[in-house]
Amino acid sequence: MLEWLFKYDPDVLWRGTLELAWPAWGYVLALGVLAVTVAWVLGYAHFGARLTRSQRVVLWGVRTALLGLLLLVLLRPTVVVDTEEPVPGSVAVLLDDSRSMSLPAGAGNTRAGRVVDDFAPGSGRVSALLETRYDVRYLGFSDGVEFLPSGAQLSFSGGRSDLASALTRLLHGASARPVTAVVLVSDGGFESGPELERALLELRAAGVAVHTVGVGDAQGGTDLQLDDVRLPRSVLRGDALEANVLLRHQGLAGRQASLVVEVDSAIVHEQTVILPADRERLRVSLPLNLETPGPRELVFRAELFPGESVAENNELQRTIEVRDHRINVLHFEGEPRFEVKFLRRAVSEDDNIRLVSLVRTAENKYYRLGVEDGSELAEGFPSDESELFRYDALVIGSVEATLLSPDQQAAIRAFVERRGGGVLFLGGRHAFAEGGYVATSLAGVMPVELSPAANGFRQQVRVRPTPAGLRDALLSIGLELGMDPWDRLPSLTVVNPLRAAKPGAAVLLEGLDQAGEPLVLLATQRYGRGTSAALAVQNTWRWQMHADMPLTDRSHEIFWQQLLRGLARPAAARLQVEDGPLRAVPGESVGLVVEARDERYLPLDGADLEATLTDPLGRVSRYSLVPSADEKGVYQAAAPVNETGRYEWVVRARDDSLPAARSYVNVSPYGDEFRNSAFNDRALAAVAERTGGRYQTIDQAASLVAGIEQSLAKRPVRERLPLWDMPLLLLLLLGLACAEWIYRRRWALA
Amino acid sequence: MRVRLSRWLAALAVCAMSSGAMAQADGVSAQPLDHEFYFTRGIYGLDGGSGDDWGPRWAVDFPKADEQFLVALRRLTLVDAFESHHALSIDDPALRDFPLLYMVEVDSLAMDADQAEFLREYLLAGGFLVIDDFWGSWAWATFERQMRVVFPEYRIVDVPLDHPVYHAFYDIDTVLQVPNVHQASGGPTHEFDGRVPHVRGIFDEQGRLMVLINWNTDLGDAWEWADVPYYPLRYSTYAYEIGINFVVYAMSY
Repeated sequence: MLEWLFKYDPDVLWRGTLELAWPAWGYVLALGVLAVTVAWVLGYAHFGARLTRSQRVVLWGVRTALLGLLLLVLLRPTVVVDTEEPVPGSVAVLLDDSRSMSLPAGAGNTRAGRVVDDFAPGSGRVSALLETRYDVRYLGFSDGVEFLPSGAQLSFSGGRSDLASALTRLLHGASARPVTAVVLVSDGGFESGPELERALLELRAAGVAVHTVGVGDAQGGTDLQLDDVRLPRSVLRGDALEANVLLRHQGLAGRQASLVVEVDSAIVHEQTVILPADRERLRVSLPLNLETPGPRELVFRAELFPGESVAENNELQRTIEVRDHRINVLHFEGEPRFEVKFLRRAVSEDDNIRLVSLVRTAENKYYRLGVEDGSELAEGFPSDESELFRYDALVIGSVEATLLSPDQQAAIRAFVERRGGGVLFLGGRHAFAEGGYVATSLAGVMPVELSPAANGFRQQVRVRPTPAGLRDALLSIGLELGMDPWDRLPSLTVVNPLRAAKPGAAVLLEGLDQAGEPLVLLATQRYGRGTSAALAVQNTWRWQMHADMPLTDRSHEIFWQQLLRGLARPAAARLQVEDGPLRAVPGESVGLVVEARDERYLPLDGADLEATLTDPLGRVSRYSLVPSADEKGVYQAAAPVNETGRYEWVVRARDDSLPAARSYVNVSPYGDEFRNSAFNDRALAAVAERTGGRYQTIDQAASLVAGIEQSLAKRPVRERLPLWDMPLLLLLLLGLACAEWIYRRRWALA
Repeated sequence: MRVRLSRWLAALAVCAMSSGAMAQADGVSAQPLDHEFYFTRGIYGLDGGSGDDWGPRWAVDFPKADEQFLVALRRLTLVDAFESHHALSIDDPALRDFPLLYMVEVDSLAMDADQAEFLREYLLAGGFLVIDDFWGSWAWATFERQMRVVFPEYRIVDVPLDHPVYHAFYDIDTVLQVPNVHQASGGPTHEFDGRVPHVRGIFDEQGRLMVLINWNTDLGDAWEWADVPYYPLRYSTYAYEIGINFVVYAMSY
């Protein structure tokens, strides 16, 4: 009733501000009205003899009110209200069209069936609701993205669920009307990764909420799957390799499951794990040692339990390149030490390590061991980057800081940061703070905090691995012995008490001094493209020589071999594959990103690179690599893959100025689709939460409209609401006129 | 009787001298060593089977030779060497903390099976043995028999002059016969029938030199008597040079 009288919601009128449209003639009119009023008042006064005083007042008041109201209407009163309105646009409905949607969704229906029932373009139950309110566009996504016209059928045959590409296409695709909200209908089995993160961030920034609708049975069935296996693209022959396998399951909590690793069809490792709570990821580290050079086919297989809903996700294949070259390690000592001898002994049996030792034996006298020819290190420790960059790893022992010139220190820093080499700072009486490194640029490279020099500190310390150290393949010295070797290793001498690692460093070995205070004995950290490490003991040779150590014990050898290999591992080749998929489905285009560097490991522009792609049938295709527009020294290529099996990329410089780089892609019809087949409502809820949308199951999908309405992007609007035709004003005018007429009739005045 | 008494007195004196070192060595598991390098002399024959009026044979030139050699080593190189003598029994487990072992007069060496096994393990683990001051074919045969017990599988061979042990610090191109102090001032420099000096060695399977044998030469005397005017400089110079080479080599290979 009030709203009818006021024409608008009284609350809106209350929030607004009143304006009068008062043009120039309004003033003339007002003056005219004023003149008429004066004349009228004088008229009343002139004929006032026939009226009583009270009659004059009433009639004057009624007539004045009438005229005032008329004047108000003529001045066109308006209420100005600041409000919001939805941004015009469309709602995009993304339908998961991948193969995993053919899995059961409970109640005798499949996931695909539920999608068709509720979200088929033009015919689904929820679709109808949406279409009555919004301009709705439908897209099917799997390994590609496709717009679906009304009545279109989904095939549910895609080999993967590339949500990131679908969202990116929505954001950046050419369309007359922008997307203002997204409805994602999926089982949550889409691929996560940086691309998806980027797309979600962009959506949030654009104010586009993604409302997710989960299709699947959270309680149903049992399934164990290998989510992923994390491995480097290539390793050095004999590296202690750690494959990190990620497992997930449903309905098998507390059960034992066996994991098997095959290399070229031969089982090389078996392990039993206890499965955690439902849908929690379990990370299992599997030690591997690959001795045969070349591409090696690795198959990771999890036990198949009876009744599993998907068998295809219990297995994962990877190809890894096992390289067979020698890493070059330079060990620099400022004085003769037995550590030199025993380090050389420890790695002498490793054909993949060339250890060069440079020992200052007298004030100006150096002894070189393991050099290739008379020119190597002829001038002592290199000052020149290109000479130092010939090595993959450095060991800096008991070398006082003043022995290294500023140029040499800068070269060491660049060696780690730019070259990607590894540097190990080894304990000794002239190492760390005791060697005067506190105020040097190399202190910044070290993974430990240097406290003031503790000259005179000399203690025997028992070395123990930290929890991080026990997980690290670098310290896998007990692998061959099948027991914890650390308890039987003799104590070592510490003369450099390091108390703290830098925030980004990992402490792998620790010990206690005689006061019970902890000491950092081995810490590592990434530094630039490489690795820096600190080993604050000065005589690891006791692990080899001590009377308690049997001759057959290889702890010392394995420790040093793995440590040096680990240090050298990040040392990038001058031509290196940086990115590109490891798995694909037939028909997909696989990209390849390589990085080329010059002799000083600066990004190399203008390289003439060629890539060959060999398919599983042995057919070779050639591609030229195109420089990246965004990054110097980075080159890209892409090629379609249509056969199932292993594809091999080989990238070369056409003038052979760079060593070749290789990468492998395994193409299978399923891709990763069944890898993510379990209903994953957490992933769906996370997508909704990240973008300001809401998650609901498909059974709750009817409530979508309310959610979309709330989330739609709004824009500010200033509304002007005219009041001249407000019913209340008309009623007041009529009421006043009638009141005057009745009054005059009552007193027979008219 | 006088001889026997003198032997016992000498043995007691040596025990007293080495006891400090052994106590230090015994404690190495708990207490770290103060220096990187200890010139460790091998003690053998304390059961009375080795010795004469000069005392036990292992202690010939001890400790002056060792200490004078250490003066030169510390002066001429950057080796962080303990400045005094250091002797350990050749079957003392603490020996494994000292990867260089120096033994003399090894024609008197008579190891039992346990000692031989201990020495074998010491060398295979990375220890380095330098033999000095034994002369003639009889002494060689005695020593060789002992080493065959230690390493039945390895032969004793000459160390060629291009081997790094001759070039680790000084470049040495000739093997000199270093005479004892009594024969240094003139006349023949050899003892018994040891007319030709040899530097021989035992190499492990990887070709690493484990035992360096200075036969028909007396480096210890050259170190010991380098401070007397009549001992020829050329001998003591050579002895110091090759001695320093042994140490630098032992710390490097």
